[in-house]
Amino acid sequence: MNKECENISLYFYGEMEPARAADFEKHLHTCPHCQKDLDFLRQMQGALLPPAAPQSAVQAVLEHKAAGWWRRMWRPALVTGFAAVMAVVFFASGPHMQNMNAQEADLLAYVSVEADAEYNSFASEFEAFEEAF
Amino acid sequence: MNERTDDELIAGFQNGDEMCFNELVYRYKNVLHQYILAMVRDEGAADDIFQEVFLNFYRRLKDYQPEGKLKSYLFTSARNRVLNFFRDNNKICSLDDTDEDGNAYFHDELAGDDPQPLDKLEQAELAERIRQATLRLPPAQREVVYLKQYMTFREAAELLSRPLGTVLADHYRAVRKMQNFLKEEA
Repeated sequence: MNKECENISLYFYGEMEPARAADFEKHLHTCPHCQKDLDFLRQMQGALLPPAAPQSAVQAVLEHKAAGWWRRMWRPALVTGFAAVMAVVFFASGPHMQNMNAQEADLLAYVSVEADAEYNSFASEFEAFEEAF
Repeated sequence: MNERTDDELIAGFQNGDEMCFNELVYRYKNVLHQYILAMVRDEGAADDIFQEVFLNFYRRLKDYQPEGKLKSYLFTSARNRVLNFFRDNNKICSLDDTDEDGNAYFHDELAGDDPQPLDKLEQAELAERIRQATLRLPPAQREVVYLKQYMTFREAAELLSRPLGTVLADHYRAVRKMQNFLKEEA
């Protein structure tokens, strides 16, 4: 065994310059230690193939990420939703409503009030959720 | 269909495609988890570190500059957390601590002493013995052995901030030592 033997890993993983690799192969043919190391490196490479990461850990990453995404997006989403509700209210109370029959007007008014209530209830629940986490 | 590069996935995420992050997680999950577990040898801690690495990456992804070095970034992030784990648990002063022979060492007990159940297939048994042998290596050598599975020696040297020659020598010592461990068992 000599200093040249220390290059076996470099050779095995194909990271040796071609000219040097050719020289090393000459050494390899005459060195039983390197031949043994080379066999072991082959076995080691197979033995250390990465197994699948636990699905629970991967799932936790993806779920936390999803939660993080929602935490970032819920305020703009609610603002947009609220704006849409207000647009419906505005539309429902405009001059064109004069042409609408009473039943349709009642329905639109009902939807507007319910949407406001839904928003308020959801917003307060989400504030509590955010505080908890 | 050609697989998208890391940089393309990062750019995709930055342009609003959230699924690109998931693809990066699936691309690196196995190697990162194997590396972390091999170093901390504690499944719960490995899972925690694994999650921290990806979630920290996710938080920074919007501003991350793709430079073709994502693998190095993730392994550096994992390594820093592994070092913190050792520090917090008083298991090691530094991965570079060495004994009188110049080998790095752990202060805790070796985990590979328990007899392992024998597999029926000879190859599977040998593979398991090799994995156990890696756990008996000093951490600096074990780290090089595992990092080498995922990157070139040059990349590993850069990641570890060690000269290439030192990394090669550590790998060689590890290979010799593991064969001795197997011989002792036989």
